[in-house]
Amino acid sequence: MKHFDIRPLAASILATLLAIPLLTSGVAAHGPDPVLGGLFNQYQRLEYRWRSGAEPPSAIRTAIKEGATDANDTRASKAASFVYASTGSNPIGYGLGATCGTNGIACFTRSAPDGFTMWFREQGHVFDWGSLKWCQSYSTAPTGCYDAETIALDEFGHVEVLAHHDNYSDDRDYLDAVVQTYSRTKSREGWNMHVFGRCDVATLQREYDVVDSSAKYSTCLDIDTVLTLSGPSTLAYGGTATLKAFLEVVDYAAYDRLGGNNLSNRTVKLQRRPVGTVDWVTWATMTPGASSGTYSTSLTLRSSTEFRATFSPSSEGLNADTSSIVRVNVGACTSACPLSADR
Amino acid sequence: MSSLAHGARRSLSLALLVFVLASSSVAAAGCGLGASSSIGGSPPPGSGGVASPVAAIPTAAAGATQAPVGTSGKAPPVASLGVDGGDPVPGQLGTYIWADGGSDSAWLPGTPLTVGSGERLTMTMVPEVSLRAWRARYTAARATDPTGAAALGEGAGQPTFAAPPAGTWTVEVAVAFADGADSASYFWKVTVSP
Repeated sequence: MKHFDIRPLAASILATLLAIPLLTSGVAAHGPDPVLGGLFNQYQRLEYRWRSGAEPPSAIRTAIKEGATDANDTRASKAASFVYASTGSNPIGYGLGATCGTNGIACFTRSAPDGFTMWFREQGHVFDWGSLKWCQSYSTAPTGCYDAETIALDEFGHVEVLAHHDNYSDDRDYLDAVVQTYSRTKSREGWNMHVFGRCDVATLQREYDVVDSSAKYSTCLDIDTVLTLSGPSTLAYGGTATLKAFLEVVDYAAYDRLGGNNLSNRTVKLQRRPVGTVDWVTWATMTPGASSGTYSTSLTLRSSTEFRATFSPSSEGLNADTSSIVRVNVGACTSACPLSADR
Repeated sequence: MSSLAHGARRSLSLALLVFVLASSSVAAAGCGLGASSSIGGSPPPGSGGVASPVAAIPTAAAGATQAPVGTSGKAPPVASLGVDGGDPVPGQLGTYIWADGGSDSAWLPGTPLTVGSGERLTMTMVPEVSLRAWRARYTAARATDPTGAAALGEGAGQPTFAAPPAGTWTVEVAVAFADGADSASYFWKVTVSP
């Protein structure tokens, strides 16, 4: 009897099925911004100057500088910073010489960690869809103009490492990112965003790391944590037990620079229950320790008790975790014992 | 006998594994696709048109108002859209990430292209490149951004999708190239004759 081996077929189907989410993620997914290749160094200072012969007019220069400041102030990470310097090695130009695509209103090149270039089309440039209007070119910005500060922030985001955010098809998540495929014009919601969106920040944090162990993680992230608890296994009657917890990011490769980070100054609670019972009672909020990621609580015990620590984050992109159980066995009472105590 | 039974069990296990993964993959893909309107869904406001099964014939391409950037290495390949038997029409290149740079553009009106109702549109690229993913959608021809865009399709490989309903539309095909984070959007002003 001939046995039909489905393994090759199964493997083929399997490969196809596994590929589906990956293939669709490029233009349909939602989450942190995709990334471009190559990174600058953490906290690298990138000095820019106006391109000789292609200097932006005063109002646009101001807007670009403010866009750079917006990037620096809202990156919430160790990403590179942008600083104007007349001798800077990274030129920003404006006008007819722009090397953008035919329909580009602004563009960039990047060669991390060496540097970048940036161009902005000139006010009034004629496209198929109309004439380019920079809002900063008017005393009263007209409907349909582009906010040069927002566009500059978008371009600085590209320079850092950010590719265009993958929006939902109805754009309900538009405000999650400044680095957009289509920037909005006045007066559509988000036309003048002057801070990185949470999904811009998410990628900057993942690629460049958060600034320190107390820093909040972008709510666009979905990061698993691991909480461990330790304490004495035995204790004399009436002795003081010190329970120590340690909170960190799980060290997944996909988390890039965030993997294994210690997490300080979070709310970690200690729960307890008498040995042999089921229900947990929250006993205390553990005190952050001197070392990053550490928490502790001391308490006096007169009976054997089980403990666990819990972390329930709020307003950041970390996931909750609960430690394994630590049991502290308390010895019998030997003197001046209450009637209820074990002897 | 024992060996055969073992083989049968293994085959069954593989089949079950494939089924389970199929279910989860489809569910996962569904999550990604669920946010989009389905093909043949409600057209954008103001369309008034409904797809007709009447076969229509040729593509007529008025010249692109702006030439595609081309493939100098500094910009993505030229993308053309057409129907079976018709001349493919190069699209307008919009926002893209390519090589070590990128260019941000507005939502474009698109290169004129006329097709028949119910025809299937296929996009080709010169030079031919591998795509990781694509998504096609359309808006009213006068739209200045993708607000209210209706989906025409998405997937991997060569983009191909049914024409929108009768009317004149801006059709955008966004592609993610197989290499790295490179991506691009192309536009056509598609008139679909009833």
